[in-house]
Amino acid sequence: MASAVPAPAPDQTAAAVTAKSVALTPAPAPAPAVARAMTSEDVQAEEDRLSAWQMNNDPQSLSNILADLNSPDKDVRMAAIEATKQFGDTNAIPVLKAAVKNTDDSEEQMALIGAANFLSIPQGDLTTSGNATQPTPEQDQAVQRSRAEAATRQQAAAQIQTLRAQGQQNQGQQGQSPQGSPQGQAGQNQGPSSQPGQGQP
Amino acid sequence: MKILKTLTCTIAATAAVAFCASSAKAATVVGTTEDYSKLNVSFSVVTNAPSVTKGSSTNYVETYKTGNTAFNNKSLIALFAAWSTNSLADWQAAGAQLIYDFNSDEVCVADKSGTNILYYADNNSDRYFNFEPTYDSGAYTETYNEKSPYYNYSYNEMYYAYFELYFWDGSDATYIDLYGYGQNNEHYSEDYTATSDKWSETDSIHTTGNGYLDDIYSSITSANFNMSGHGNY
Repeated sequence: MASAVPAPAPDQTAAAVTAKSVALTPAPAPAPAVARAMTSEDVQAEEDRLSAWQMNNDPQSLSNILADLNSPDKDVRMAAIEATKQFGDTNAIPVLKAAVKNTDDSEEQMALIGAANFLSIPQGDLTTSGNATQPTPEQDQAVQRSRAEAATRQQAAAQIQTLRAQGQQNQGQQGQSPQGSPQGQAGQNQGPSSQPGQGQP
Repeated sequence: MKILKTLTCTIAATAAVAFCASSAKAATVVGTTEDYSKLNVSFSVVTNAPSVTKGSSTNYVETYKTGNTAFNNKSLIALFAAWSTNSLADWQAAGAQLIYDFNSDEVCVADKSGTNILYYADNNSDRYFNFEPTYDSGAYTETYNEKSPYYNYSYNEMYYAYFELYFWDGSDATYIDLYGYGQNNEHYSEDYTATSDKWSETDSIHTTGNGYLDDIYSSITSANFNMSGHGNY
């Protein structure tokens, strides 16, 4: 649970939901590879396309980005590596890892590994609480309600036992205090309370 | 029949596109710029989860764990849309992207052109994304060629960079204050000729930091900013 992103809260904002929807205009397939060396204008144009694809959510855009990992131009390859992080799909991880073997450039290898590591981390949503793998407020309230209801049930059970004990004693002795009333209440016997951050080694 | 089926499918597809297009409103442009760099942000945050205690009050084991979460441009643009009560769908339809505007010296959300600004991210006191790629100067190398009155030059400088993502609307549960410092390797070049005056710049920033995410103390294990821009003076 430590590294897993919690399930979206029921009241997840429309903005967060919309962010995951498929792009209105899926990206076209890339043009065939250019046989000649890429000019600076070619590189800039491809980088601009990568910038657009990385903000989409459709499979063709991801395919276009991954294809540029094999570009003959290093700047384009580096831009494609960044684009995989921005696109945010874990399907890119094995492709990134495989690409490490295709280059001797240490800067590029580190970028590929860094991108694969980044994508392996669950993506968060800054528009909602709960990114910190903590219970949502609703879950917190539900637990508190459950504890309160359990305490009420315990008290009710204790009163019934008391009344029964009184009834039995009244049949014999009078004036003695009831015995055996349970003292503990559900939800309290959890050990000392502490705040996050305390008790660190 | 095949022709009719194809025509029917085409009409249905066209209608669907038209419906989608008409339901998306044009994103509101709040400013323009001609001097900007495209910005890519990616950062990961490690946050403490509440402790788990097992056992009795006198014999127990208390365990603290952490969670790791990643954020990128999509995360920030969705956050800025929520901050500004803009429609994320409208922004996405406009090709929303992050830029660093050199006129206002702040991170902005721009449309696909890069020149139309949809949101300035450092304009409010209770919610802002402050990014200073050249917070402090550092060592540099430079080559300058003078061919009066024209010139061209380029430099590489290691700046000290800083960022802070802050949000507090009075609710502790959504309190965010993540900040970090690190190094920016900037490369800048300018080529001034009789016909043009072109500039280009790339910045590669690596930072770490700390702060609060959802009111829980957190560590920023890695925050990377990549900027790339070019233009004409």
